[in-house]
Amino acid sequence: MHEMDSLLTLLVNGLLHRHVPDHFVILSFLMVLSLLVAFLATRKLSVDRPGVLQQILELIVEVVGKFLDDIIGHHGRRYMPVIGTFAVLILLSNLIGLVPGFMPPTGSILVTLSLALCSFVTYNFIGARAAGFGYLKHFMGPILPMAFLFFPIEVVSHLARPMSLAIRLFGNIFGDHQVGGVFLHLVPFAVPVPFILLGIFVSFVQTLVFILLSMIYIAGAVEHH
Amino acid sequence: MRKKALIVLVGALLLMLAAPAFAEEGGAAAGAGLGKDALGVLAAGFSMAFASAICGLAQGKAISAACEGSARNPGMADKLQIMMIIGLAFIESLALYTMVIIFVKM
Repeated sequence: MHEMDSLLTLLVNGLLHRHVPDHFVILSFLMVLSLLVAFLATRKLSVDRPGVLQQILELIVEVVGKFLDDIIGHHGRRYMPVIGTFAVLILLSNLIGLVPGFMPPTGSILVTLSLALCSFVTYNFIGARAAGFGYLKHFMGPILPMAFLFFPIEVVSHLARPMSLAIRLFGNIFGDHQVGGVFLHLVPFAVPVPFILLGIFVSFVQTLVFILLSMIYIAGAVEHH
Repeated sequence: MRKKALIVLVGALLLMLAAPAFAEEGGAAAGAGLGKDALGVLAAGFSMAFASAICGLAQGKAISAACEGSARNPGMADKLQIMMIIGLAFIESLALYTMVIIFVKM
């Protein structure tokens, strides 16, 4: 199971005479692509006759906003920027693995671990900003005299969250890519099509799971005891 | 006529079974017994099989409960779906831990 580089990475490495990591090149490519799409879509916005790009972007904002309203509550839309960034970045990274010649960046544990750590830092920061020192009460359990028992357990369970977020995303995308590759090797015609469809489904579901769990962690951090 | 077809079929089956048998003999002669790598491959296959089998059972239980719930009360279907997906993600991560361990150890 050796790692392969995308064609784009091979091109960049050949031009620069360096060894740039694959996920870095693909993530930069996706960043440029999404910035370009956002720029093109927001150049001429219109209420009466929205263009195709504008409708797609509005759909993303609506879906993420609905989840935020459902899970966090009436002030949930404050966290739209961070959750929306996660959603767009992870969805694009998952889907680009299905394009021939590209490796998915989320199939690398480094990328998913950094995303999960971002989520971890974000929800702890939001919780600490909302409650100040009172945020420590989240780790103390229901009864104060029992705090010395609850504190280690809570700390370990909070530290397990980014690990499980990272391994879930990595395992799903990596495994899906491997399965697709194996079937493409076995029968390079018609048989891999269901696995590509499965890959599209998995890409969307894993994006949904990542942002849903991030929202639930934020909701847990800002709730009052 | 039928007897002839039966003989041909049995012959073909025997030939199919024979090829792996020969291959196994050659492999055993070359490797001289099960090495550490072979045991590792065996363990990897069995652990992934166990993990995915029991994970599948657990996910089936979760999905059937969610389906029953939304059939009884379709108004709750949206909330149940979100909760089901989150639960499935937690169950699935157990099988994925096994896969990651396999890839780390191989």
